[in-house]
Amino acid sequence: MRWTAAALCALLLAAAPLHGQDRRLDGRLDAETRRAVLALVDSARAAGLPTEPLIQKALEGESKGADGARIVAAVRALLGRLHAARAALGRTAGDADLVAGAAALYVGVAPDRLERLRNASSGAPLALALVALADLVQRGVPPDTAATAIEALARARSGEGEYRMLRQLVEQDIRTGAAPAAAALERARRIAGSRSPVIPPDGRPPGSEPSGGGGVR
Amino acid sequence: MTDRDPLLDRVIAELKQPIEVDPAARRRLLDAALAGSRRRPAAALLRRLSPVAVAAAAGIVLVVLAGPGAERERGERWTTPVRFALAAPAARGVALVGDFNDWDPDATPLEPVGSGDEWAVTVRLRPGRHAYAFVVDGTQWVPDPTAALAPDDGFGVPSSVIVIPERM
Repeated sequence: MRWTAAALCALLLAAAPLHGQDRRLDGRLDAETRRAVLALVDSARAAGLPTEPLIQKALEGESKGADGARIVAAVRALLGRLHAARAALGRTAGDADLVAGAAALYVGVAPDRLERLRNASSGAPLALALVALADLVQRGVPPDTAATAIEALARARSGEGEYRMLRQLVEQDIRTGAAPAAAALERARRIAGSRSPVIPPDGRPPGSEPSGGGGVR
Repeated sequence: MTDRDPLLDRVIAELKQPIEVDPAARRRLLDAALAGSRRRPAAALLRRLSPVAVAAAAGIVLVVLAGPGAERERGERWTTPVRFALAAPAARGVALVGDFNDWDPDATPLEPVGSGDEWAVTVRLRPGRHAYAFVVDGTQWVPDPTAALAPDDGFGVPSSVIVIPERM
């Protein structure tokens, strides 16, 4: 049985790097780019971060015609933002929340605004809110203002419909000449006001900061 | 409400009575069960097999269960159908690319709908945040005008984002 155990251990060790390889990159990236991307993927795995977004970023770059250096730079930058998103959103944040958080950081939202949004959402998934946040910023709403608007919706336990409505109405207001910041705040106030706020399970008023120990979702 | 049948009440009362079990019979049953578990036929079989064969079999199982293909297959059970559409009256062909099809322009072509002004396709997506775009006539990348914008982080071509919530 000792030989069996030894052989099994050897095979497990040999199989571990197999998991790190990804056949989808074969034929899509040159050898040097592939090696560099896979090293970043392994680094993400070791840190407990999602690896699929990194693979997809590399494939997206290849599909969009980017060269190898640009692809590696984009994957490396995404890995850095995933680290930062996890620091802001907590270790229990889901993969979708982390990727959406990384995108929000990329467009200029400060990490502390992600933390505030996490606290405002009281444990609900954040991906919808973070996607709406990044969208508003890209439509010209200043990051802090966009974060304030999205926090208002998060406190009101808004769902997909409310976030989509906010995005569409703000886009429409901007098209008709409204200032992006004013449009975002006013529309968010109205949409959040139309929903009944829910008192969180800990009994604190909606939007208040959690105690020091409650740092993760 | 109807009156209860007295016969039914008697039957229920009888069923509620504790059942006496012969202690000797219980002991015999326990002994038989313990003797069966001591034999461990699986362990005897493992001892007879070559260690390398056992390890190889375990390795194959490991690779199949932990590989990316298996992960994809497990996720397909919890997918949501999503219809993607783009108004492109002058297009000769429209494709959908995104992180759900490895950004492959040949993987998910859209079909013309009605008079051909609109192109559409329905794909099943796993819960999560998905980035995607349309490719018109094989060259022109177009974000979805009805969706949230995805940040352009270095590739210079815009994309869109959709979030599929986890199912309860």
